Amino acid sequence: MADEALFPDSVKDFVFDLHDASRRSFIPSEQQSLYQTTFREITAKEDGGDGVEGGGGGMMMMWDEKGRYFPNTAWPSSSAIAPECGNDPLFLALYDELTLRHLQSVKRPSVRDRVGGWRAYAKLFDLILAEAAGGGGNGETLYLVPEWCFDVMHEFLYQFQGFCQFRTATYAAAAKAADASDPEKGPTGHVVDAIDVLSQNRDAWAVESVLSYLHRLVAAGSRRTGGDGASSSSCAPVYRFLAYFGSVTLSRLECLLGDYRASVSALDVIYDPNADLVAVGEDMRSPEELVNGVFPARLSLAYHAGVSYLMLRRYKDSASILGGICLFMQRGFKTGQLRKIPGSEQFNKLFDRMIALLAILSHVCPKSVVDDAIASVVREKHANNLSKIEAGEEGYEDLFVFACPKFVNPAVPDYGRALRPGCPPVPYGQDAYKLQVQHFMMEMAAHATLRKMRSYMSLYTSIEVEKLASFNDMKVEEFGPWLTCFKHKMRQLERGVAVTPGPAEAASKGVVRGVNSDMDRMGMALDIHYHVSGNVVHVDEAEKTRRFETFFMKQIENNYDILRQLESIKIEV
Amino acid sequence: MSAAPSLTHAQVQTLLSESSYDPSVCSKLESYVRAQVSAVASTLVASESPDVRYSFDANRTLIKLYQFFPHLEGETGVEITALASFLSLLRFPDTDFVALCCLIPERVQSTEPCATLVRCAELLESCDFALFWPEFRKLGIPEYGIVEGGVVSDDRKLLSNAVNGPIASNTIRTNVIRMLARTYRTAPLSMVLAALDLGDANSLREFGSNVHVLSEGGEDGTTTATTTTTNAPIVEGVEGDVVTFAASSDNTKRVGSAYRGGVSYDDVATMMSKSALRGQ
Repeated sequence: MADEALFPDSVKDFVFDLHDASRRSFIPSEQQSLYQTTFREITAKEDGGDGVEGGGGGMMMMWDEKGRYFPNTAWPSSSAIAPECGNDPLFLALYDELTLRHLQSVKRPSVRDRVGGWRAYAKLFDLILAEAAGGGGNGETLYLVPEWCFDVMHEFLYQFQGFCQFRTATYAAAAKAADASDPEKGPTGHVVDAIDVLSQNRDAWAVESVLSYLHRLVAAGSRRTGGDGASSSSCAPVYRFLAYFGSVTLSRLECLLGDYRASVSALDVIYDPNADLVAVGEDMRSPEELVNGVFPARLSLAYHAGVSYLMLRRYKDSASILGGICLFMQRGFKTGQLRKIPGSEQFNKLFDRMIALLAILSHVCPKSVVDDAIASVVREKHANNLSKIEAGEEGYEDLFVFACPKFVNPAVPDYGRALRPGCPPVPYGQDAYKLQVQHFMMEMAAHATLRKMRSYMSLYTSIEVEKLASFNDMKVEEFGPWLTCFKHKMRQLERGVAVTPGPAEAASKGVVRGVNSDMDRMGMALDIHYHVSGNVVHVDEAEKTRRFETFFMKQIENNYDILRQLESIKIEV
Repeated sequence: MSAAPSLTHAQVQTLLSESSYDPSVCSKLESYVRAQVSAVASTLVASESPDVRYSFDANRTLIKLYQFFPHLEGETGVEITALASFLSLLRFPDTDFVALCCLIPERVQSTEPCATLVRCAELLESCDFALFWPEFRKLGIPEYGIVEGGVVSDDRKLLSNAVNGPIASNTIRTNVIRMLARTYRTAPLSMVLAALDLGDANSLREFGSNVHVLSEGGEDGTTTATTTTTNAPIVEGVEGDVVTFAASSDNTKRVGSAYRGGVSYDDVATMMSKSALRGQ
């Protein structure tokens, strides 16, 4: 850890400037530069001189052999830099979170680090909520750029997820050691120590507290103009940013807990068609545009919503949201735009997982609306798996296990029991991950038969039930329920369609209002239409859903973009 | 059984918005689950609370509280979970049961009476309606699934009463007949009777006359999540051994081509507004 007395002027200046930008001047561009660029530069600062830089009073600065200040160590503690920001408790809590995030990205956290992380976040959110509640009459007192707000929420849940996995793994290690046939081979010292610390800090990262903070942050910044007079437009922008990114995080958490309905409905505040616009710098944006403007937030939202829709049997919605983000990412990878975003090394992994989910969706729901470019990526990456499934072998599970999120066990384990022989290998016998995989496989069990049925039905306009049953290697009595089952499985809720906004000024700015779950409607994900009359299955021609106007409009837009680029080229003769 | 009196639907909604994950609300939510099932079980006796409606949110929150605080399950948790699952089963073909099952641990799902409820849900999902009814009726026997020498709890008796009451069976029959009507224009009488657990054609005529066709909205014939019923009975007629369902876009041939061309105003407006933005 850096010696608290020895840190350079650049660090002091950074703290002073960041404090000024977030608590006094509220200049977004300045803060953006400090947060996204200066912080990284100082952390990995290279020295070109003789390895010495004077801090205040001629003190010598310590850095590693490559001349970087804090590449693998902590930044100075908040108590050390407190004089630079007037001992502002809220800013110090933000600074603690920022530097903690850095430290945990370069060093594997110990159990005490993890507990310390919880304390830091709890303190930060308590201060923010108090500031939000008390700051109404005093004008704006805090500003954080959207990227910073999302990073805080994202890391908060990432640490929660990591903690749940850590305590489950610690419990399992203790249980295994306690159950070992050789009584002398008990749990190792660090496992016993971890169990001890966890037992003394049972409130750390408690799921009900995590949920409570997220809900309170969402409530603080997302009130609509309503009968109670409270309006989100009178709320300072930072609380609205935290509310909307909080709802993205809440959606992610509910998905990890297996509550897919709650995961989807957590996004309603973002897609609320009546939500006030929010100021982002000099622009006014809808909540959806705010979230889309921070790519990691957009990615997190799309991935977890895609998984939730899939588990709720809303295949078209899942394919639509995953296909959309994958198409955007594919273009971003080609142009190199995505590589400029911090954390981009994770994007490829998530892209591959979403492509795997799309492979599943394209198989169970042929009517999925996925762009041809993405469909070809799916075919290219998962041809083997899909062939296995076509041949009647099991392939869905491999794809899902690769693509699904890391579900968590939210309950605090009975740590005392872990050290006694005979306890279950997982806390309370609850394996969250196994439960979700089992649920998914149960849903997929029918699709092999349904797919085969569909392939035969699409060849006929009418076919006897008995003949169709024989094609599917079944007797008529056994096959009858499948005809109803196919329609049942493919009759699903679908998201409503976005409409252009009412107010003329919103329309001129290209703002499209959201579509929340109130506008969900029942639809059919089948690409063929059939009915049974007597003992004959009548199959209608497949619905032609190709909308050529979409292709032409896309090409018109592309053409316009190219013309604009050509016009901007300066040719000097 | 807990002596906590049941809240009204409005009170439960307030509770959920204010203190969803507070363990102390567990007993109130358990009482509300029992009240919902009591309302299903009883048709003639007034329910204990004047305003008790099915609430997926309340039931789901209770199941999650058991997930977060396993000690809250206690001795009654498995049976309360079964009551909540039973309520969501009645919502079939909606995915309430599917969504709830993702939150119920495997050890609870494999314990009676949850295990039979899970089996019932599987049979409904696979549309094996004829096989569904015998499984469902097992839940109507309070002692079914109880270990030898075990005591039948009040919650288990409540479940059996609800299963044996007319509301549960008629609700499931209504949903099943709607599903059959989406697939079949005409169907064999024996198959329909087995799917609805009815004895003869007269029972079917009587039951079918009380179930009406749902209205369909939207340009493309999709139904909204809150469709309304029409006056047309879902069973058009029963002649000999053939049942004819009311005609709808689901069980008749599509008229004309399904192809629709044209540009919608929304698509053009979005494109024009984006172009206007770029032009600024």
